[in-house]
Amino acid sequence: MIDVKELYKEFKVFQRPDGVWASVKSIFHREYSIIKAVNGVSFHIDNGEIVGYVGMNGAGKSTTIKMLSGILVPSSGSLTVNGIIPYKNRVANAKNIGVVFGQRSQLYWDLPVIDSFMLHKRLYDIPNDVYAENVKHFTDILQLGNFIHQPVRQLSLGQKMRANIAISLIHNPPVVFLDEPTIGLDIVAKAAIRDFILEINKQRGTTFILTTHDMNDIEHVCQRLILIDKGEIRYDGSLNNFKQSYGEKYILTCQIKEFKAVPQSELFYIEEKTDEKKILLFGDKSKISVSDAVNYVMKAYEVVDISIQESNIESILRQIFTQ
Amino acid sequence: MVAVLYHLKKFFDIVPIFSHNQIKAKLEYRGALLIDSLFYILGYGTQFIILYLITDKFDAIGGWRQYEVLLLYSMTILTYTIACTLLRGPSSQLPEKIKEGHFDQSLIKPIHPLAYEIAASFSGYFLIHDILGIIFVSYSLYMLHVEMNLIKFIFLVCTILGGAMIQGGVLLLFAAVSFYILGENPLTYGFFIALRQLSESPVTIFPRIIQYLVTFIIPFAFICFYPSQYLLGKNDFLMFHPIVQFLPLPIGVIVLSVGCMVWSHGINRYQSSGN
Repeated sequence: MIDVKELYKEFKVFQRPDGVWASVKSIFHREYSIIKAVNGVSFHIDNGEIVGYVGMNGAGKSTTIKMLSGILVPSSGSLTVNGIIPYKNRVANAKNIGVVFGQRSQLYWDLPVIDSFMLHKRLYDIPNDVYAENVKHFTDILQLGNFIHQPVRQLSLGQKMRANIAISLIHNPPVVFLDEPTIGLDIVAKAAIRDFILEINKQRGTTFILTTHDMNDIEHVCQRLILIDKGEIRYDGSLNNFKQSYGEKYILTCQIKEFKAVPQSELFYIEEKTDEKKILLFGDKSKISVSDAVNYVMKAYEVVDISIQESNIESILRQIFTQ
Repeated sequence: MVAVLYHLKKFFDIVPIFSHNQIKAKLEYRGALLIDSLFYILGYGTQFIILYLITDKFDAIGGWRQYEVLLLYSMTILTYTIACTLLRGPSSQLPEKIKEGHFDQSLIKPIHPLAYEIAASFSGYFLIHDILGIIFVSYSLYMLHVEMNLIKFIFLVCTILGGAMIQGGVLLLFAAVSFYILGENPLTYGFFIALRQLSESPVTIFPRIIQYLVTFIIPFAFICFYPSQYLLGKNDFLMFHPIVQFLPLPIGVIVLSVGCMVWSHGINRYQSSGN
């Protein structure tokens, strides 16, 4: 389906010098630096997968998506989408894919949403019955009905995003790239979009690659996670494995009446905060379960209040990326 | 060939939606429409009048009389507006689109980006601009007492087509430079207008090097200088063979093809922009 091998993309960037004299000199002699946006990435994605493609700003997520959609030509390496090399055969590739760039609208500013749909109907030669069914279906689940006849410039961010997602799917593409589809949206709009992705995936077996900074998106929608950092893949595997291998840790925070000398154990680590009358227990599920740890603390101290913080994807990622 | 037909079909499928909408938007903002038209008429109208007044003081410039010079100007303007009517999207609007990364959209559509850019910016409204050029050309020809017959008329139409293709090709070529270099494109609109002035005047008055330049490098002499000699019965071919007067159309095809090829090749150099 999607096959990426040893993919590289380098950008040449003009170094803008400081100061007037240096600027004048730069007219004659320019210094460029090479940025390796994508640095030897390989992965394979099968039909019907929903993959979360995650990394920090500038990690190379969008650059990968742009190569997969035929916008950018790779510096080296090979990639195919449905057996097509995107940058060599853009037209054939365009028919196979749907793309949403969360930060850039596909809709036409002055046109009503329905006209943008009609434009895509003609561009993609969508048969009348398929078109009518899709418009009806998408209008229902994404609730486009209220604003489908309004010009795009009058729409709210959430409305625009829903319309963008609908239009990227209107020609029934087998592969869809969503680059930050939930950016700037409220929780209700986010939930609507997540449900929509899941439903389309279930109904049509559509493959989705999703980039996002909201880990709730990943947790709700994706089965697989690809982690990219500085252009290189750090993790590629199922979401569950990821959580298990990194996510066995938890923290118990206890408010206590008074301190006692408690022997440290090999099973966990306790940090005492004397002035706040607090202890923090750092545990790992593979060594001691949460309930055992709670029992231990309750016996050792006179506990007033207790809270458990389990690591989620976000806290794990934060650990990985800040290392 | 099949591929070309495919892109043409797609082009004509989508152009009515864009054009209809652009006209609607233009009519919605009536003030802007009025000012745009006024600006246009004033801009080219005053230049026409100034040229008229200047040439009125001289018997001839480089052996070219008043209305002959005005014909050169008129033909240049008409062919330019025709080129712009069609190619605004992929030429004058392109550098900005590349800089902002908006060109992404054209690359993910199932149609050649050049055809898409033309369609997306096409507006029937700009045909109004062409009318002014037609008036200028007709007026000059009338004042020159050029007797029109079918052959001369066909020649004139071919010449205008060729001239529009030459200017269109050069416009595309200049805009495509934005694909290849980082930062500002030095071949700006102003630069093009400056070069175009070489075509508005009788090439005879320029030094030899410029005569070579506008014949072989940037063939603006074929827009109207050479072909108008056939219409006017002149014989001023510099150091070249008189055949040059019949070449605007073939040269236009070549220049436009080169422009399209460089433009299409430039796509692969596109770097997009970060979010």
